[in-house]
Amino acid sequence: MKQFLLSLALAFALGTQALAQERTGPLRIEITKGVIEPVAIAVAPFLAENPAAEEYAARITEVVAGDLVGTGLFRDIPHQAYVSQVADFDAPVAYPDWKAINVEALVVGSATLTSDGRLLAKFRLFDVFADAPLGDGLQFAGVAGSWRRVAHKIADQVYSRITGEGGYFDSRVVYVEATGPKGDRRKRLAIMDFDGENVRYLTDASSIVLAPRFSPTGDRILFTSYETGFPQIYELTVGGVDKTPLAIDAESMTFAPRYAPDGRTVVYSEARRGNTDIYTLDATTLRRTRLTSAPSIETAPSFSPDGRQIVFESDRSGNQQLYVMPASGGQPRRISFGPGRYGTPVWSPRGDFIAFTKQNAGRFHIGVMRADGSAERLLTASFLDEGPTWSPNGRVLMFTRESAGAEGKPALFSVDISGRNLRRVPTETAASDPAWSPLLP
Amino acid sequence: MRWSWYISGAGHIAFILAVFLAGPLASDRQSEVVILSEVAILSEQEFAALVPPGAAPQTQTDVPAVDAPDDDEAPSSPMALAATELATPSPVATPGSPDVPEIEIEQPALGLEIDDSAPTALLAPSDIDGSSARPDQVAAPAARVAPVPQLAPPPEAETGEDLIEATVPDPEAPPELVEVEDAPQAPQEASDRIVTEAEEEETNAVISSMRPRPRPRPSRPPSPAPDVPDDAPSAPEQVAALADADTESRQVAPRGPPLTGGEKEAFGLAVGQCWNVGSLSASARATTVVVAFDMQRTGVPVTGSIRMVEFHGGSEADADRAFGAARRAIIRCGTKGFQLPVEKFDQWREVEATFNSEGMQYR
Repeated sequence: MKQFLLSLALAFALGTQALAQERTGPLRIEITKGVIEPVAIAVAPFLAENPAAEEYAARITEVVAGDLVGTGLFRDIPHQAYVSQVADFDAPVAYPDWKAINVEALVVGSATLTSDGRLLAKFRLFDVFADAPLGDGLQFAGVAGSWRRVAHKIADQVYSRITGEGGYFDSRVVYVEATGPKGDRRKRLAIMDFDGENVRYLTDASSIVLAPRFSPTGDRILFTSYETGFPQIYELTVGGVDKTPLAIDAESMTFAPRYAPDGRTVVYSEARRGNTDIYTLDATTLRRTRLTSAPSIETAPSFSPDGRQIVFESDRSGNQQLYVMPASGGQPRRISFGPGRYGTPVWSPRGDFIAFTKQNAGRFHIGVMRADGSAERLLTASFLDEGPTWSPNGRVLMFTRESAGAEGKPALFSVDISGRNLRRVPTETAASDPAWSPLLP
Repeated sequence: MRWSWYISGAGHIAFILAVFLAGPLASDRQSEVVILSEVAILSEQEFAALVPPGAAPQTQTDVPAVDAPDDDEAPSSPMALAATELATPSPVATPGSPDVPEIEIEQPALGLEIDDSAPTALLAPSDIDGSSARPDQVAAPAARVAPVPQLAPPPEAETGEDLIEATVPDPEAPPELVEVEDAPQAPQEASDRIVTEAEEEETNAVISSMRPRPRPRPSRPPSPAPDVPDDAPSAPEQVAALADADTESRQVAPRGPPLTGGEKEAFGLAVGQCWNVGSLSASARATTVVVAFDMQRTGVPVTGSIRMVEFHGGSEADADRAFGAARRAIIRCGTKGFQLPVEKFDQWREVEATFNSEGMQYR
């Protein structure tokens, strides 16, 4: 009986204490489900500090808003919906007016054109619901002709401050421009801004060119040319448009080149006497090193960002699959095991994913997987998708999509790594084999 | 045998005493401590005599003069755009008080010095196609200077051969529906799951149906009038005053029963409706943040009280971004007040919300 009473008293005491603790604490809830939708952003019209800058202010506003909305992560609030207008770059922000129209981030900017033709553009970013600026104001300057770059730089800053990752707007894309009918296409290398503007041509159409790749610094390009009748690797200096043959060998074909992160080592495929293996080449000394020696076809090598590993495709198992091996060669490890065939792997600049082309059940896909082969995700599906390339921040993939039929033409598309925001990159002619540059300095 | 009974009994008694003395009784004693302070009543004249004249805060109106940009301070590297940090204006700063941007101008070299057209030596004549080469959109210098700067015409503009009369819109005519063809892109969505193009399936089946009507609920007595005005206070003074009032009412208001699991879940879902993680980086999305905030009796969160308690799984910068998204969710969805039982106000007066998007990763 005593034991029972004591136990009862103990239970009462413990229960009282627990109740007292519960009463003193806050209500605890856990939120595990949110939404994935564009952030409402207001890019207020940039103010022209002088009449000569009016034109540039309007253009910069348009490009900044276009860059941000083009990511699919932002939704631009139209100017007509503004409760209050921004009339002075330094005026205090009327946060309630922006909250009233559900604006989450506000961009305020201005442009000045100096008498010597230089363009100054400055901006500030505000977190409306925090009633506070998001980072410090920044000013960019350049010649008036570089207004697009200035706008891209501003958009990069806004993007970076809101998302927490680097931008990719001030970058370029080199690709193969194709003209003529499907059976007789003439191809040449072209380079453009990431959004399809400012197209320039780097080679003529006298010989077929394939698979251009930027160097880590963006000042050189590797590509494969059939100028000698066989595929051979060339290196091209972007600024001077002069090209240099690499690994020319009359007894072999070289193709699928890509730079190592050090910018001097080139990894590529070489077909010799019917067997294709992976080699590295020191672009300075032209010394070659063979990394694989299997009787199967090994090609499409790509370095990891730290330069320690190489991912490539091989048919050693009977069909095309992805493998990872040490940068110095060695035993490869297969990482793709799903149905279908895998090819053209590219390591993300962030190192977290490997993008690839997959062919399965008559459809082509662009997909991503972890470096160990886990978490495979297919982002697209079409008649022919191939050749992904990463944006400088590792968030977006650009690739070639070719439509079916005799009139089918290749075009460039981009898609967010999540699989959202699939959109065509505007080019005036047929385009394929895109390669994204690093961010411009 | 009896010794063991005695030992066990003594141990239990000692334990119970320890629990009572160090447990709730001790805390109750602490909570019963009443803090007294001496209060003196001042008349208006006495208060005026205490405050020196001109002690009111002055608004700073003198601002630094604006210096002209100094071109000579351009950085030596031709590869970099000059970026200069500007001081951010205070929300209460006097308009027109710019902090001086130290402007450094530099030609943004692109690492690519190529003309709009391809190199002459490289291009076959047939390849030079005027339509394919995109002209620079920057306005070219004109022979005549217009009094007002004009935008350059669009490059695709052409003059038609036939004269076409301009159509005057009929104000009485019904508006014409114009369908704009756009590049294919994924539809904007507000969901916690991302469906890629590869996962989309064509189906003729009904994919959505009418939501069933909610079950009728028994009528409840009208909730007591809120203690605070409808408009949520935002100024720090108002927040402080509100907090004082809450502290006062906390001592007298009875604590209701705890929120049920359903009520908690509904609260979490209500916050989650505004928790937008779509723009966060992968690392910020992988960061779990615990956010604490106070609530008003109306169900509206006290904006100034929202603070991050702790975070897991990411860097401090990631946590800042994740916290920003959480704060926006609390404020946006709490503008009209969360639907919480008023009779249990003491249970949700203070809230600690854990935002964990682990289950929302790309699926």
